[in-house]
Amino acid sequence: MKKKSSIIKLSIIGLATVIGLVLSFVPISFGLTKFTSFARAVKLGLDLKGGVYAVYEMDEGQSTANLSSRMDGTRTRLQDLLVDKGYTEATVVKDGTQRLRVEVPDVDEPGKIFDIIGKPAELRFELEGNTVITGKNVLSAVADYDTQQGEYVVSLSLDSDGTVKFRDATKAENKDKQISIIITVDGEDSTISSPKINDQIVNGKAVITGMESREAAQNLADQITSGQFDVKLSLLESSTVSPTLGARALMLSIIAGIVGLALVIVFMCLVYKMFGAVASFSLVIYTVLMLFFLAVIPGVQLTLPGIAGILLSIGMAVDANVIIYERIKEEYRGGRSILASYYAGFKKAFWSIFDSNITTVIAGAVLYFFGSGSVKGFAITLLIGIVLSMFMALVVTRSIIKYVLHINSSSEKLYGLKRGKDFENLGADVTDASIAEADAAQKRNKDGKKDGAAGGLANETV
Amino acid sequence: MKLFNTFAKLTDKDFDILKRRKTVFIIPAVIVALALVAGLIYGLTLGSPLNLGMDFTGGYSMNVKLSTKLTDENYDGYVSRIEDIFKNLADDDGENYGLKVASVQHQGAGESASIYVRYQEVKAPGVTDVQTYMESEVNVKLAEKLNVLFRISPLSVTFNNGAVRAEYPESMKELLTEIGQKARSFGDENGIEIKDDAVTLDANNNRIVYITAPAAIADKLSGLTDALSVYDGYSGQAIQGDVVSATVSGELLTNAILAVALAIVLMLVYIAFRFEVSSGVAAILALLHDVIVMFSFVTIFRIEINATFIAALITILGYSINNTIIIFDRIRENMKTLTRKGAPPSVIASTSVKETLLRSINTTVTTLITIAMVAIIGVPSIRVFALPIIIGLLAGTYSSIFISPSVWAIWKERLQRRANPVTSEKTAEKLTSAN
Repeated sequence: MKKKSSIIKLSIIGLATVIGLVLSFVPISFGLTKFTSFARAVKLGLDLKGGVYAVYEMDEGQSTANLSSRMDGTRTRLQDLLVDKGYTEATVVKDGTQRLRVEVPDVDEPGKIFDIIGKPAELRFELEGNTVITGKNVLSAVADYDTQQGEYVVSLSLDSDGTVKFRDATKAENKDKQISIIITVDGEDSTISSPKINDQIVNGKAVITGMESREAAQNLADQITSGQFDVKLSLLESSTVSPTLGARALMLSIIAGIVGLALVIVFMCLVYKMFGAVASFSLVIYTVLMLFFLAVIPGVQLTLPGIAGILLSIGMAVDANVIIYERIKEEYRGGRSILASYYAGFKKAFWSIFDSNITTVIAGAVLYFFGSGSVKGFAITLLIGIVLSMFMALVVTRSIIKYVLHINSSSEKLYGLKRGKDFENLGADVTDASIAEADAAQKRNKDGKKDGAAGGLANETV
Repeated sequence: MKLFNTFAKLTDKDFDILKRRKTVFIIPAVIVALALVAGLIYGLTLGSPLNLGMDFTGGYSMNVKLSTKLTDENYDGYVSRIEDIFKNLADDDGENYGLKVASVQHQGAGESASIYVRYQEVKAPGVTDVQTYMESEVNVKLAEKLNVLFRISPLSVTFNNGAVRAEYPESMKELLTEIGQKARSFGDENGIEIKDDAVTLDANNNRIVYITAPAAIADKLSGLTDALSVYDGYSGQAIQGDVVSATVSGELLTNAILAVALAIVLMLVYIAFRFEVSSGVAAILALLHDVIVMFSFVTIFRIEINATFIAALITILGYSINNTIIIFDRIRENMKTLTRKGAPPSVIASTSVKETLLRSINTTVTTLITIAMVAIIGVPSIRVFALPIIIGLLAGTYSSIFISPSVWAIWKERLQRRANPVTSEKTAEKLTSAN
């Protein structure tokens, strides 16, 4: 009975994997809707796919005092803006003393770079023709949703200077006067809104209301952010740019990955026999899931080192299996049956796998939250790899092995196990009866508890 | 078989794998010492101890504006020509500058198509102001040489029936006047008279140009071929770019270092919480060991350090700690049973290492397989990434087997001796004599 259901379960897992593999590599179209394969949907970095570039030049007539450090500051803010938008692999470099060169990966139209960076907008609040505060007084501009009014807004936090000026402008005697919020893009002024002063605002928070959509609010917030740049920039040129490494590098890495994966599978099957085969099968599932997550999680732009990192994570994913199998071997050597060794092996290996992976997760999470640019992107890839490999070893491989053992739990040879000196004549499944009994007892116990709990509840209601 | 025997000996119950504690620490010490010496020598002879790549140092850019002449088909051909020009660029005395191309990109399309090249600065002996040297000498020469890309040279030049026949790769209709001037000045230099109306275009094929000339020119055809190469008025020029800053900004680097430091502290806290403070310290020391060995390796072999190296370091950071924890997990387990039997920490550590040795070796093999494939099959730029990782993996395996358990045992024994100087030594003695 158990054997039959195990075969069915294994077939289902196998089928799901095949479907996953197809979805990963073959684009499918239903009527007019097209689904890109996971592998194709993964965004690639500048080195593998190229993207667009734009060169910004400092506007004429600006002060050149501290130019170098101001350019550095502008560059950092631009880079942060790009990372915020999920372009962790975008680069910003100084080109000479007065220009910045931005490269954004995996975008095909040069015009899109403006969608990403936004056209820098200068902001000012005017009261009766006098400027109250400008974008320079803005510490941060974020898109928000005003639940009371039910509309999207841009919230501004002002610096101390701006707070004082804004407080003075909104004092009681100016009540009911209009404040105009004006932005200047490419030298053209436009008034976004002219709210009336209701109350004095002392906390340094200003809100721009009347945004049409979340997108509009976000765009304005970005424009204001880029308008605060220490150096005013205009676009000099922008166009597409080819990958620095190109298609050959990508293809060779993929070939290397496939060969490496195949060798690992051969190694595992030779050393751990049936267990190794299960691990190899899990490895295929791991690859499918990895591709899926890389495709859907934002902030991932795979670069060549990223691919190498994933290949390495495949090696590390096997690691957890090796730990478990060595444990199982050890337990079997020590006289347990195959089934009992399996239970003990997974149980004992659990904490060592958990602890070792959590430590790495800590490192990855810190790098994600505190690192910048490409470090952040690499940390995401690392985190996906670790969490997935832990899940694979502790959940997926474990279940598959259980089903396989239900089909056969008596062949030493099949699993590559060997008895220790003291237990040479012990049968491979000699203690199975007792284990199965304990298993059944545990299950009865669980069911009993459930029934009991339900019963208890029923009793209480009565 | 021999290997198997050695291995059997290693895992033998009574063999103390951590016995030669001094040797364990001497090996990495020697590697670091080698790196220091190598770094010092490189620093004195080549100007810098580390071979920092363009990502860290920045450099210069050259934009070769080929305009519509550049197509997807001929891009690779142009790139290899450009790379050759960089590689062969020499000063007036024929001394090669040693320029290296860091990256080449196909930029824009149609009218604005160009090839964007980035390269690092080069130093010459006796030059103090590198930027001026680059801008006023090297870059100027480079732009000059790159102009060859915008010239059209005849494919063949022959002399027949009183006329030179020059065949060009493309139409010369627009450039006929210039060819005429070139031909006449060549004639003047060589004492051959070429008349004003001597140059004509073939009526059927505008790629072919005829120049009526006396027979004497037949001996000078090779010189004439050079003279007849003309600038293509429609293609662009090599724009000598500016200084390009590093892609890895100082801030990214500072952030990365701070993040790694914070990560180490948090990992230490976690390990101390789940295991012991001594395990945490030992694990972190092992981690530092791996990173230092990686650095030593790239220093000794002068491997170029680029942004990818940061990625390699982060990878090893994760991998190494993983490895170490597995052994500490076994130590934690064995502590419960063996300490009761009075075994000193060194014996517990040694036993735990032996019990997990097969696992350590097997996981290193599986991880090495994939990354070694990348190193073997991959392109040079990825090899630069894969090699330090391979070294890091080996260092990580070494440190998790030898360094961290040893550090842990030493720490533990010190603690015990301080707490109970007499008994612990006696137990140790008893155990040694029993062995």
